[in-house]
Amino acid sequence: MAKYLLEIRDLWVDAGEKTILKGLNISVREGESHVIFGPNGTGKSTLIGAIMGLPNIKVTKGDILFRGKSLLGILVDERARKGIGIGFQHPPAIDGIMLRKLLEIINSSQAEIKRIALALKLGRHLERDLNKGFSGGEVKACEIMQLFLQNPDLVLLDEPDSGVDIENIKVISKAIRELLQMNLPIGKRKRSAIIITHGGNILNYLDTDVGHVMIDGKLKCGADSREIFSKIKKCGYRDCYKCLSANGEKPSGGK
Amino acid sequence: MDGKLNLVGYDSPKTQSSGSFLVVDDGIAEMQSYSDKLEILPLAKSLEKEQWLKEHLGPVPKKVLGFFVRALPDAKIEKPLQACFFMKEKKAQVIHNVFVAEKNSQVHLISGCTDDLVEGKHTGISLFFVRENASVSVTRIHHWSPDASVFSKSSVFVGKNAVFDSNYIVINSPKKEQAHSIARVDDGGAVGFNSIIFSRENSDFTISDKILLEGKNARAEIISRAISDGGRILTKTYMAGKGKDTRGHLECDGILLNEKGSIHAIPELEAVNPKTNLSHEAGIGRISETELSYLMARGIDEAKAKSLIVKGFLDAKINRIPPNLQKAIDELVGKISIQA
Repeated sequence: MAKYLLEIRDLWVDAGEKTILKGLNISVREGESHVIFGPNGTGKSTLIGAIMGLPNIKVTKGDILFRGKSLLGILVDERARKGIGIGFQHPPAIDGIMLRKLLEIINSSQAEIKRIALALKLGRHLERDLNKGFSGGEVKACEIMQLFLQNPDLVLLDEPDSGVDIENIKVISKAIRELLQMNLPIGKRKRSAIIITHGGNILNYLDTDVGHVMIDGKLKCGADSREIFSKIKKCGYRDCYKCLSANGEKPSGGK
Repeated sequence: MDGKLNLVGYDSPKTQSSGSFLVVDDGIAEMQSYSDKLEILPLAKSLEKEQWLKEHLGPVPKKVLGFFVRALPDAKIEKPLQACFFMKEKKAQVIHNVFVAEKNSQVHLISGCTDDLVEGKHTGISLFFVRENASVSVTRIHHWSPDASVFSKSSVFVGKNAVFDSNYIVINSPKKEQAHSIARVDDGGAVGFNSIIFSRENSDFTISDKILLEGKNARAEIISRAISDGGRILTKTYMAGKGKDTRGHLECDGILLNEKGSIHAIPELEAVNPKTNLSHEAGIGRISETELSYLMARGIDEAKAKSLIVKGFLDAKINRIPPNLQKAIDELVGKISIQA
């Protein structure tokens, strides 16, 4: 069996005409949740898109291994069926597709749909068109709901807290805790996650393992996620650049 | 033959209908009313009695083929009248139909046109008179062989506070089809024209919907959905606000499934009265890649995701779809998912 659930080696990725990821490495074990911090536009979402296989994101070098096997060349839907699930940052609203219908395609258990919809306060949204007229918080809750029903082994969450008010952050993070089995002690959890956060507020409610900072298309640091977050909260990303310079690295994007 | 007729909404056991009218080639094969409030006659026979029709119909042959249907005043007929025009052997068919909903009546019509031959030519001329306070819904389903030619023209007269709703669905487009509709709306009347056109390769389709809001407070909505799977579609929609306090909205949207076809939408609004309020939206494009990859990220394969999006595109807004029409739409969507 592979040592890591997800292993990314020397990953170079273009999004459109631009090279965004430049030799990125990350390894995620079963049950681990990793947090990626980083200023806007550094490539956090591109990384998640590359793992999921979203269009317009092209891997030019390196490899993404899931359970020891390369994901390159495999279509989005097949990656999902292999056990990778994504919570999008900006999910589309789709006319004429009723939320309940989509959920039933993902998972046929009516009881489970009802339970999760109530937990995420989306009971009244089931008969509406997908994301149509949903508030910022409802859109994010809807993503978490779909992930629950999809039951993936690796959860990719792209900014699950952006645009969500304080009251709803509690609801969403409670659901994420359950999704990521955070009520179990580290080591007993089975589901893994990569969580992207710009603001980091959601970390006040989650119990994550490893934190990284994305700078210049690479992941840096690899330390305790709360420690990194408290530093970023205090000084922004300025100290990250300083720290990297002190270690002899020359980040091009820093000031 | 039955299979073809079923596809266009004509069921053999007629328990669910208020009447039936079937033309095969150039003869009436079935004609029956199951409601004492609904008269169904061959048009040729009724012409002698209904002299007033002459000015609307213009010159027609003595043996003119088609129906004369009348819902009597105050009739509330819940089950639809089903009609079907089938070309089995003869290569040309010319139909004239007249449909009258008298004052305060409510009536529904499901009308199908189909063929089972090579290079058939179908012409359909229809007149609808919706008298004061009456309500009519019409669903027309077309299902043609690839080399057929079709011309249809409908004129609708919507009386005071009357309502006319039309759903026009083309499942299999012919080589060439032109479908023209025009409605004149009196005080407080309302018209809805909904159309769904699926145009396959080598098909040239023109749909033209015109609504003239003539009376005070007249209202109208046109919703046109075009899907090109290689065929050319031209949708011309026109609305004129002539009466005081008239309101109208038109929407024409299209999806191109591949690069072989084209969709050309021409939405037109004309305000004659300063107290009219008209608006339109139009959007044409390919299936959104964002929507497609979103659904695929849930483990749904590409063909199914595409058919979900197309079905959503068709379902949105056309929310008065009668159940037996849903069958036709499901067939259409099923076909798209196979091709995707």
